[in-house]
Parts: sequence; C-alpha cells; structure tokens
Amino acid sequence: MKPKYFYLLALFLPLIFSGCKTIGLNSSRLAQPLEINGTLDNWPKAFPVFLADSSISIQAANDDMYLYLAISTDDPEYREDFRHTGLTMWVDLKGGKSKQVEIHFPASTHARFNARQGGFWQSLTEEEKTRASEELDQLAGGVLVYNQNIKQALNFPANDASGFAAATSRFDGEKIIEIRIPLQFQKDFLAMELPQGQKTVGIGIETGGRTRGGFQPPNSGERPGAMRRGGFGGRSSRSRFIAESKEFWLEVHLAK
Amino acid sequence: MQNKLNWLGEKKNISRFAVIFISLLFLTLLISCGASYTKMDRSGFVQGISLVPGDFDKIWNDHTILVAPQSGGFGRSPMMPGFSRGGPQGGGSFELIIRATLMDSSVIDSGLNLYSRLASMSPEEKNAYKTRYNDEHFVGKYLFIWANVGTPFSDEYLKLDRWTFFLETESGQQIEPAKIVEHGISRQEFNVEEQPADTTTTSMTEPEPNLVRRRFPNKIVEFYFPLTNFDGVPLLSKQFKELKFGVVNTKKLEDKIEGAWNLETLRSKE
Repeated sequence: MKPKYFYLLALFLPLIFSGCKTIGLNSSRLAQPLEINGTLDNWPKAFPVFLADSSISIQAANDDMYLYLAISTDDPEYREDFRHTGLTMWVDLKGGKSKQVEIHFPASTHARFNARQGGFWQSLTEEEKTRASEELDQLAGGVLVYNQNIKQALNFPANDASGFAAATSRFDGEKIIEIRIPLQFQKDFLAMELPQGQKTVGIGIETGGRTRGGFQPPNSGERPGAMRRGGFGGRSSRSRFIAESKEFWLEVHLAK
Repeated sequence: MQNKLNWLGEKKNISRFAVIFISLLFLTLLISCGASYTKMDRSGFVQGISLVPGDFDKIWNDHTILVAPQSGGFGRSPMMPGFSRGGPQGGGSFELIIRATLMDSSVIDSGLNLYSRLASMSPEEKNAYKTRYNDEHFVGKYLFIWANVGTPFSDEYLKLDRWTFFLETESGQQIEPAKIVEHGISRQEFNVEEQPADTTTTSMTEPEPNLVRRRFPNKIVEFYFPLTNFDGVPLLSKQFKELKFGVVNTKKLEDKIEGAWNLETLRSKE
C-alpha cells in the first residue's frame, strides 16, 4: 500500500472510534443515600458530562443500592421540552444500550386515569376525596417504568421509599431532574439486577419529539382537583408541533 | 497495482480503489453509528397505560363500547368548517358519538376496590362507601349503563329529548331506560384538521391543513334499565350472547346508531 493511502486510513481511524463512542460518565461514591428532592444540595462534588451542545449536563453518584442521576439544563428550549414531554430514559444494568427498561417521569406524561368515570369519585366523602386526590397526585408525579418486552408498566409513586424515584426543581432559570435507579430490584414483572462484577450501567436519554397537541387523555373527563403536580405535568394545547427527537447514550462507570 | 497472496494462497490484485473503498466504508460507518446520539421519531411513546395500580382500567375498557355511525363519522359540522380527521370523522349522518360502559358487578367491584384503596379507607369506611355507591346507582335494582355522550355540533344535540335510547336483546326486544340521570355539559378536546381560511392568495396546490385542538361538548348520562326483558329473563343471563345499545332520532326514526356488548366475551374474562 502506498504511504498516502495508509495516511488516509490513519486519518479516518480516530474519527471512527471517537464517533462510535458512548459518552462516559464517572459516578461519585456516596457515603449515605441521597434524598430525592430535585436539588443538588447533598450531592458530592462531581464532574458532569455535557450533552446537546452543552445544553444539558449530567452527573452521577451511586452507593451499593442505587444509581443517582442529576440532569440539569438552563436552556429554555430543553426546559420547555422536559416540561411538555417529561423525561424518557432507558436503563441497561448490563452496560449496553438495551431499551427493555424504559422510564418516564413524571408518570402523568405517559399514563392516564380518568377518575370521573363510573361515578365512583362522586360517591366519596369530601375527606376521602382529599385522600384519594393526594394519592393520585403522588402517582401522577411518580416514575413510570415500562418493560418493553412484555409491554407492562409499573408506577412508582413520588413518595416511593425503595424503588425508582425522581423529583424536579427549577431555580434561577435552571431545571434539575434528580433520579434514583435501583441497582437491584424485583417487583411483579420487573426484575433488575446489576450483574456480578458489572462496573458500568448504560443510560439512554431521549429529548425532543414533542407530540401534536400535547398529550390526549383517553377520556377527557378531568378528575376534580389537581393532577399536574410533580414537575412538568402541564399539557398545554399550544404545543402543536412535532420536534425531532434525539437519543443520548451514557456509559456510567460506577464508583466502588 | 500490487500482487499479493490472499488467505487461500491465490494471487489477488489490490488496487488503490480498494483502499479508497475501505476508507469510504469506514466513513459511512462513522456517520451511521453516530456521534453520541441518533435522531428518530419519539420512540418511547407508550400509549394506554393506566396511572393507577390494578386492573380497573382494563375491566372498564373491556366493558366500554363505541356507539357511533357505521361510517365512523358525523355529518358536516356547521361549527367546524373544514372539519375532517383527527378525532370525530367526517362523512356520516348522525350527530352523536357515545362511549357506553356496561356497569356490571365486575366493573363496580373493581371500581369500589380501587377507590377505597386510593382513599386509604378503613374497612368501615369501605363498607359505607360501597353502600353509598350502591344506593346512588340503584345497584341490584336496575341495569346501569354509564355513557359519555358527545357531539361535534352544538350543545343542542345533547338535549336528550331529541333522542330515544334503548337496549335491544337478540330476540329484538327493545327496552327503554326506567331512569336517566344527566350530568352537566363539559368540553372534550380532539385534534382536528382545518384548512387555512386565507383566501387572499392563490396557489396551484391545496394549502396544508392545520392540526388544531377543538373542544366539543359532551355530557355524562347514567341510564338505568330494567334488569329483565319483557319475558322476565335477566338481560345479562347466559341466555343472551350479546346486548345492543342503540339511539334513534325521535323525529327521524331512520336515523339510528347502535353498538353491542359481547356478553360471552365479558363472561369469559370474569
């Protein structure tokens, strides 16, 4: 082979390898579990990675039980995007890019319930309505975990103590989403376990792809009381366009 | 050109084009595998998931039928110029679309269990709730149908005296409700395509329709039918395989829509 062709190949090789690389993210070791409240107050010092032309930053922390992610953006476009469509992500505890376990936060962006149907709500006492309303708010603001293989979903209320959890906050123009992902979990059809000796976790994050007209509940009857808590929640009828979606994949290196 | 031996020991020519080809192949791979993201339509969209635990939503959907014109549409709405797809369809001849739910014991039990769980009721509260619900909805006295009645036209079409609602057995007996409880009119949102109204410009092509959200009037109506047919046979007995729910225009009896519950299927799911 003539030298110039060798150089041509050599020129492409680094591009090839850099292009195929999933973004690496080093997780920080936690001394004690983090409280999921949507703030970074208790987070250890960590180096975030930046996505989407530095519009989104992500940092990770873990203990033996959970992986925690903090996703921040001060970009108005991405703030709006998260507000409308919530957060969609995938977790692959084997470190790959499997989409079997799909996560939506808040759950209300993808799960629906019309509490008005059947007259059941109307027969509750006022006190019972208050309690049921609070419970529905917890479910709406919780985390929806969808198993793509068997097409079933588990909903973790916002106050879930041991499973998936997420919270969001907005401070000084910056939106923060804090997520807790169990590294070992078994409930109903959902079984997840970090394989022995596995040091990385694959995380996929989707942005964009806003749907026409926001989200259309299967039944329009609104339950009396708020159902839009838990962060983004709003379903504005003004969001009438489809934005292109993007998928980012991270390889999170767990701290031992 | 160079002559070399390949792995079979054969002589093979390696041209400069092969090198360029391989380089381009790698370049293609580079582009196709993407940098850190790939672009796509929103793939993670999951439809029809219930926010609440348990099987209430599934049972509810199993017991709910769509009662609509055969053509799947309505007449042209005077309120909606250009109104066509994206919700109620165009081209039919009936002004109502109804989602009717057969409130049999499986739906009612499932609903009572769900709501008592959501409200964290004590056993006493649950008993009181069940009694209250059964009293308010005449459970055991009538056959309860919960219906969401909507129209793309004006609220006038939701006046129930324009219509006659009935159940029809397989033998053709038509039974009217003994009681009707109407709820207030609310507005339901649909996606609707509308043609732009701009007529000041001319174009060789049709203007792109806009997808807009329109709110159509609808109301909840509770229908309470006798439990039995004229011969005293329970309407939900195993003697019947299906039960029809129909609506006719009181001033134009040929205007009729109907839907049917497959009772055998519902029994098999219990």
